[in-house]
Amino acid sequence: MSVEYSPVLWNRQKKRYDLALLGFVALYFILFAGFHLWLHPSTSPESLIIRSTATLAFLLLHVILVIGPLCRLNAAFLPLLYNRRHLGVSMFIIALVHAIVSLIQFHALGDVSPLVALFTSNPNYDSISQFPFQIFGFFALLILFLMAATSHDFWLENLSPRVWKALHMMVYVAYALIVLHVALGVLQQEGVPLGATLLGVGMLVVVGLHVTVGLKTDTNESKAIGNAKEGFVPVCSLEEIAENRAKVVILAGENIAIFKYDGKLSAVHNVCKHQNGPLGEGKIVDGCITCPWHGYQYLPENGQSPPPFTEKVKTYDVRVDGGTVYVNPKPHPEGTKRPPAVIA
Amino acid sequence: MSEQDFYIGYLPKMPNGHWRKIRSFLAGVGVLAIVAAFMLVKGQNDFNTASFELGKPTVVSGILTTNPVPLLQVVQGNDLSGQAVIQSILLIGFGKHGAEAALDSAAAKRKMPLEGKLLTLEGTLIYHDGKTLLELTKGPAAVLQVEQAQPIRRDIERLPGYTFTGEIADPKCYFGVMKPGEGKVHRSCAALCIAGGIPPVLKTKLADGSTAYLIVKGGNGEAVNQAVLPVVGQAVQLSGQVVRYDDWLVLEWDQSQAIETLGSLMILDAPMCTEKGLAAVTYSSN
Repeated sequence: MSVEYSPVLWNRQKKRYDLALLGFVALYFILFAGFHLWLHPSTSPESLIIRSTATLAFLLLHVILVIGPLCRLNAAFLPLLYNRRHLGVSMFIIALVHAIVSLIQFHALGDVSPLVALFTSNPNYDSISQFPFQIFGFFALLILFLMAATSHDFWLENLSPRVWKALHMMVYVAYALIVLHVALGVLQQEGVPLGATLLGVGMLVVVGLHVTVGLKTDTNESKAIGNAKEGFVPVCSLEEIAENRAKVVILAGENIAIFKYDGKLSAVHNVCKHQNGPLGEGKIVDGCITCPWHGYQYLPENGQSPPPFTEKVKTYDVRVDGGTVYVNPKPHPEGTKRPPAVIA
Repeated sequence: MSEQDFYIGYLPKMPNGHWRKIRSFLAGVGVLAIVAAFMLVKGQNDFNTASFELGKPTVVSGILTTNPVPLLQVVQGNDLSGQAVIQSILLIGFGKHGAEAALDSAAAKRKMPLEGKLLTLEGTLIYHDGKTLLELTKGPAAVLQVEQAQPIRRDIERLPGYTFTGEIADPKCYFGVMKPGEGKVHRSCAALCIAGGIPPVLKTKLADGSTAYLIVKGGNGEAVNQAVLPVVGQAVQLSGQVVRYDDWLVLEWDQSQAIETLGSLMILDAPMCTEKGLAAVTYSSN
């Protein structure tokens, strides 16, 4: 958390994260180049650059896409999510190298400018198999550029978390475009089942993990409100909530996290103001609800970040009766102080 | 997960439980990188042994002819019967352009036609599978010297009409500048090269497993670069008269018969022609 902007708020774990990323990128390039020169000595440097950057960027995109669902399934993966934006920007830079070298190689030095040539040199827009596959790559890169360029809390604040999140959800559009770019490009060129198999496995992992998480959220957390009394809905027993942890429920469309701490219960909106992280999967640390994604903190009684921070989330009324926890799903405005339910 | 295992990124130390899991994950991703890199590299089609001597200019002398395309005819000595052995080097411009602009500019500068003259050219060699090309890398300045010369006897032979199946490629990339210089991923580049005046070449596989390269022209010897652009880089079938100009074959495409596209380039792995016909190459007759 920070009250002022700086290019990167370095800390020890970010440095370790970036070192590991740098090592991985270097390892991949060295291996790819080594295998390439060993198995295909007649290759050209341009092809080596184009193919190594393409495969690495696509591999990293898969890792980026699976980090979110992995963290929802197992909190041990959260350290991978903490600095994911550096992973994303690195992936974009690698993809950009692929795009620039390809643009120069295939589209420069002709009668028209490279960007015009990109859209006009293959006119088969009316054919699926002969479609100019580069177009998909171009638009995917455009999305990745917008994401990389706004991959900073300055833009998160100024675009608003909602717009920022919507923009960054475009990564799934970019992924689909890249799948088309690969399927209608190099897979047709190489004509071997290996590439199609790897692409299929990658898609299966990405889609499978997202569907698994989606199913888990839908079936485990939604509660009916038919048995509400005075607006309060029974959601769980006291024992179901661990000390300093939360129970998450969806009531009347409200995503609510009920925290138990110091003999009390408080309920807040389950969505962190920073990047929509799941507060209910966080923990009370130093008296504050702490988001598991990036450590943003809120006071449980009023949903406000401790000064000097200014983030606020909605709060809800909670009751305890006979060992059962009740929540009123009608939200109070963000940052509204509500008395916690005291556990007898 | 224990209470002590809650991860907060900005704290100096990662909980041990997280570190153990992350360490295993990173090791797995590292192994995946090794396996993926090997499989992706191994799974690629082989690259041909074509050469482009980038950054290594060569000076070569020969007689210029522009029939059917700009060629530099270089005498490589005499055969046993005393006949001159000619190698025709296909001339190409810098970038994705034909050689005509550079040659025309050089001719204008010298105020004389270059056709039939002995030219000394500096350029970058491109060669593969018995064919040699010279890129006039410096444009008009590639023409170092122009001298009068005795004409060389051309060996031009008109052959019967044939139908060929193959891929139309640009010879500059295919014969060495790019790897691969053919197929879907290279289609845009080939189209730009051919649109820029580089003569289209049909690459076709023969019954004996060898590959023939035919410069594609119109029925009257006219350039058809614009007409073939929509089918560049695809498997196609086209018919026409074959004419041999020394060591190059030209297919004078009969434009009354449209070029038929055949879909997948994979069919090019099979021999396209079945009958033996000519001394220079073998391919099927109509």
